[in-house]
Amino acid sequence: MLLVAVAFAPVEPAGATHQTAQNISPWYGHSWYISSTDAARINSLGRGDGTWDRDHAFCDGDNTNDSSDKVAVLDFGRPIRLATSGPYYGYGLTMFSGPDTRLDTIVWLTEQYAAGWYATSGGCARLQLALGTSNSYLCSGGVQPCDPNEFGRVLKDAVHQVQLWLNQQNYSWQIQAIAAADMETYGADGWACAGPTRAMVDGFSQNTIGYYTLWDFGEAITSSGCWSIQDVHYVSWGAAPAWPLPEIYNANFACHWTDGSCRGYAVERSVGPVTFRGEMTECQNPDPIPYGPCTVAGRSEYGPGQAWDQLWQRGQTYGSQSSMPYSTNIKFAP
Amino acid sequence: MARTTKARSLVAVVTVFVALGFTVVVAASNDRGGSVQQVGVVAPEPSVNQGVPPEKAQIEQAEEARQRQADRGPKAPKEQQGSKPASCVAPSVQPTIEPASDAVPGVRMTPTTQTRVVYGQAVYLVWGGLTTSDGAPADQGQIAVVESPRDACATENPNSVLDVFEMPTQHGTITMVGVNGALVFFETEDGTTGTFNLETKRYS
Repeated sequence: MLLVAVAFAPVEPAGATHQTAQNISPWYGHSWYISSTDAARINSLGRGDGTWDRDHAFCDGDNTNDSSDKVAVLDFGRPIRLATSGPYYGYGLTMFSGPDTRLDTIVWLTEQYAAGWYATSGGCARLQLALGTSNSYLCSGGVQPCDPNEFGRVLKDAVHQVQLWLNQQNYSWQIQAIAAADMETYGADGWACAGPTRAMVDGFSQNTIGYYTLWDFGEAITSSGCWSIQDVHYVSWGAAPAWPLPEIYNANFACHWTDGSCRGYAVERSVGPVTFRGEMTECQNPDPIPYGPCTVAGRSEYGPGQAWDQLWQRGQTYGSQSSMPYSTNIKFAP
Repeated sequence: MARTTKARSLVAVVTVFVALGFTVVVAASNDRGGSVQQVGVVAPEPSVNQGVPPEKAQIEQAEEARQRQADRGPKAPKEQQGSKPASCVAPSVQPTIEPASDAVPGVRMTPTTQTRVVYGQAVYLVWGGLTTSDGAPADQGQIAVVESPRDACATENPNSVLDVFEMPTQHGTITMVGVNGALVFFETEDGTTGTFNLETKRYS
């Protein structure tokens, strides 16, 4: 008997253990906490990630079964105001233990990463490159006044500037600029409450310089009292440019975004369906990171494949999305 | 003749479904009759933005339009994008202890102080503070460390590792006060002093 299947079979990259289909986890890519302003390091980081994404994307020639969507979040730390005038109204990012850095320099560093990624990434992968920040110690320290709403506005200006540069370099067929923010919701350990975080998102929305999305790579566990589950829904989905790329570090994280089987409240269960772009993990393992579990600071967490599966499966309870193309793992950049 | 008619009918049906955006899966056998045994029709993939509010869909559509426009435009050649930096060794700097200004991603703690240390062939990002992990003693001090290679360009995919080290005994939050080589000097909330070795990851 001869069986003939009229279908398009993608070529699996060497060493791949994940498959590509709408309901099977895609290969993860890399995201980074950035603490260095060394352009060579950032460019090298992009080159390494371009190679990784090239080797873990595949295109079948007619776009029917491609698995080429990648996201790289470059998290440069939390907002701070460094001057009351100058580029981007003096706003910058703190770069963790690195130097407080002006937004125009952050834009330049993002471009250095893009140049490195473009050089090595081949022709298949498509990258959403996120200029990232957080709601950690939002606007504390530095020069005052520091207004989260105004920061949100200039964040979009900065993303727009990156996009213009990508256009000028003729990279934009392969790389698109977006914004991302680690919007943590437990209101402790220095993470801001919902009010200023919503103001930042609103500022991003209100800036009419162009159409850009703001991906929330935070969590939905609200334990402090200064976040409601409605707030989480707003900053990740309710606001027009917001899309969720949530941290899915374990079952508790997945539950609070989706079915609420943990404590009964959850973004989708309590407020309404959202469309997840994908998920983020924080495994410390060298590549290739296992499906899961993995190790993070001595504890066990979901690996990228495991996190994707958990979010996808639980998300079916209330959500209606037909695909979830992104998966990324974040570490501190070397 | 009947077989030919059946095959023509199948071609027509497949053509219609393909035109409508369906994926058609055909399984056939050639044992004697050669007739078609199974035709599977998979519904077209709904758009990801199905159910998306109009103002959100507008942004998504604008992004997609930007992508389509870029697809039609020129593409920078890959080979002219420069070569990998051969080296990017972090320069030696005198470490300074600063008040913590960021939360530490991936770690449940309230940091008091932070520093960046370049020592040997490694770069260390270091935070001292108090753990806020569930179930931990309220006076449990800890140090978080990210260790990275000093020359991040030496290999294709250099790795960094984040780890957390609780103080063996509980004395409250840790405040770093100085660095000498790989030794971080600290004092705790109750006045206890000590050191943490970044190479061995041990308190003393």
